[in-house]
Amino acid sequence: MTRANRGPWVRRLWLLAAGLVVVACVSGRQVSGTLHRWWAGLGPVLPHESFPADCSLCHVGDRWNILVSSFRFDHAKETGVPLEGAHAEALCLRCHNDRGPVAQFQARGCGGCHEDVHQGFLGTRCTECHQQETWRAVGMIEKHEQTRFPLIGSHLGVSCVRCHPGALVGRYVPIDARCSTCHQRDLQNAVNPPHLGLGWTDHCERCHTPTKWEHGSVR
Amino acid sequence: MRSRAGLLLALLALAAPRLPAQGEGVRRVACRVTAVDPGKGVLIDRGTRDLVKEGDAVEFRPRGAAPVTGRVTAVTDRSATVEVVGVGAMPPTGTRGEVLLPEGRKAPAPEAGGEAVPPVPDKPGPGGEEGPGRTPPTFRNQDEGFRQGQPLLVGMRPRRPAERATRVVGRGWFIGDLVKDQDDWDNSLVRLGSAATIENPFGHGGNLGVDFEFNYKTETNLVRGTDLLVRELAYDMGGTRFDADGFVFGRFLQRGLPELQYLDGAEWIHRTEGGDRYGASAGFMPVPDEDFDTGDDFQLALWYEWVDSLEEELVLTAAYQKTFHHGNADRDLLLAKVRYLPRDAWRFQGNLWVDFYLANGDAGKPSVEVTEAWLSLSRDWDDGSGTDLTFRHSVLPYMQRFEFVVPITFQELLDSRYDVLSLDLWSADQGDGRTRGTFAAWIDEDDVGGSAEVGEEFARLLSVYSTTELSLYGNVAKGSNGLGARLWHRVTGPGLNWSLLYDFSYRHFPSIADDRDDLLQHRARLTGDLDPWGGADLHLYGEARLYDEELTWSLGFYLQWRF
Repeated sequence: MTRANRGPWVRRLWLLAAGLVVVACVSGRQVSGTLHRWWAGLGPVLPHESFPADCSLCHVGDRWNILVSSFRFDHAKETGVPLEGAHAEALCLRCHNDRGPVAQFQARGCGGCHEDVHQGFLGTRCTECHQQETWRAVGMIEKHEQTRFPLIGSHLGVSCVRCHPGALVGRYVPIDARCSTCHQRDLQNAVNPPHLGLGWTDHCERCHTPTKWEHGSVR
Repeated sequence: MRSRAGLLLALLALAAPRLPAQGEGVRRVACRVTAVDPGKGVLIDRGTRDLVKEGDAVEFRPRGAAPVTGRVTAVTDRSATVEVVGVGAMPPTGTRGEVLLPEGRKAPAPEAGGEAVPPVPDKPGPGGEEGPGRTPPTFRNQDEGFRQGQPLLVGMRPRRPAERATRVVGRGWFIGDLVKDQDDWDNSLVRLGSAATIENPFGHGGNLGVDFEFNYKTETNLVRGTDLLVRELAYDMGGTRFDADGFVFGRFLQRGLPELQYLDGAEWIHRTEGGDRYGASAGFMPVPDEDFDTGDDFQLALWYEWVDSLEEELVLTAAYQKTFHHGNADRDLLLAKVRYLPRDAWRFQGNLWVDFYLANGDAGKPSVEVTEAWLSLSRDWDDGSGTDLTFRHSVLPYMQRFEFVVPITFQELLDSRYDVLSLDLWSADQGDGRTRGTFAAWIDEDDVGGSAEVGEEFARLLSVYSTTELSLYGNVAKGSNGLGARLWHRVTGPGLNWSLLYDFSYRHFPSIADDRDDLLQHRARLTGDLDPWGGADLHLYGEARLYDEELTWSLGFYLQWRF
């Protein structure tokens, strides 16, 4: 099924998904607790044998699932691994959980805990594009200067998915850099002169600049 | 005068910690600061049960500071108060240290019997309540491995995943881009989505993962409108420290090897005691584009990952993936991965995608081709400098053609390739600045080119919280050459980070008519990041672009919240 004939049920799914987002957020807030709060339903996931014998350092006396308000754990000082951005706000159990020793996963870099949504095509230096606050990638226009296709003129405002169809599923692979790869419709619509009829389907740069199609001039 | 000096010496002698007598051995008992009382000293987690007595000397070793000595002034069963001696700073909570005990200090002999155990309590009072002055009952749960005298949580059996209540963790996002091009609003989009894990939803200890989003794109691939994209809807079982076997089914990015792409099917992973892993998967592969349609391509995959140790310094992985398109044999792919990640040394990582053309290679003969490769050699030094050399090879880059407009010829398929070799260098300067350089060379089926960029980052140039970066770059690209400069000023403040970027470049198009072969391009971008509420991040931006007398602009936001 193509996107063109999906209209009616897609709108219903809009509502369904929006509802799911709300439910997920609300239910998550109810049960996941806040930063550094120990949730009783989880039980003692972490082995405590290396912890100080004075339990009251971390726990309040009457409810073990709540850590004392003055609880501070300097992750950098205690473990040598500083937590920055979203990591500093994450629940301890996001990393220290049933998967196994954290050090083992941490040694693998970002990929030790985060699945590689780019499917191995973009390497492992994630921080070249991602910061630790959000998943938003930064500096993509600047990165393009280092490729065979810098973004010039109209291409500066183009969304990634327009040229990289796999962008929404994390797949950024090199694409054919010829103009006709992305400008199919423009080529079809070019009737004065009729580009397809004349066989003008390649080497667009002979007449067009990357700023505006209407500026084409025949050489 | 002499009497005053004598009195002072006497007071100092009294205040000095009691060190074991000369010639007497010392036993060091590790301790840790558990609390700080500015008026009295610090509290440590050792007491009379560890044979600590008043007057014992304690040595603290705060991180990044000189050692501090102290003297025990009060002792309880499990803790002691230590007064810091001299001019050293008060050691903060968590500071490790050692109590110096005379070697000869022995635990007092038990009054009766040979074993030093706490006294057996009296019978509980009426109703099971403990009466005043009575000691609590001895904990006798032998199943948990608990022995009398241990802290309560030692050896306690962790709850298994199936024994926990359901909870949801994840994030949501709401993204909007309003893009005004010369004549239209193409490229504007809205995205709303969530990625979440529901832990133990059915009481079996598994996790249900969902990752989906709605997006509205004004134009993408000739179609406008809304779309629902489901990246994950899968159920994971096992694969924890309690279960060496993991099983997942549904739609998901393959867990063992993401390089094998998304799957509508099932995957099994087993982890050996030595840390090796192997697995298999079967199912349909969604087409990796914005439609994510499925059902055309079926795959079977097997893989094995060898690790040198539990530290996983060296990891070697091999996988085989067989693909069928509409039931016909399509692709035989061998995937090889190397990961060598020693600490404080050169690191090497590489991925190879090798295609086997068993009967349909050139001239009908079987052949082998490396269709994708990514190899990286890198090193980080303690002073903040580092380097990375990366080679990327790709044949068959994505070609988006319509059959009746511009058909792809067989020769184009054979010729298409894109190889890039890039070198990154960076170093930390004094004053938290940073110098970096990136140099790249590329070759494809038609052209050869390259790029160079150098940048200097100045910390606190305009204000205490600011970073200013100046970059110069140039490139020989496909159809254009360029030179440019970029100035990026970033300010980090409480609750708000903002940045301003200005980029100016000159472009030359060798194949365009002489009167239009030059272009000056300006780009200015203002961004702001703030935390609207706990666990949320909001990014706002506005960008203006001026080129060839055309002014275009974009406005957008990116809201992400965690739950």
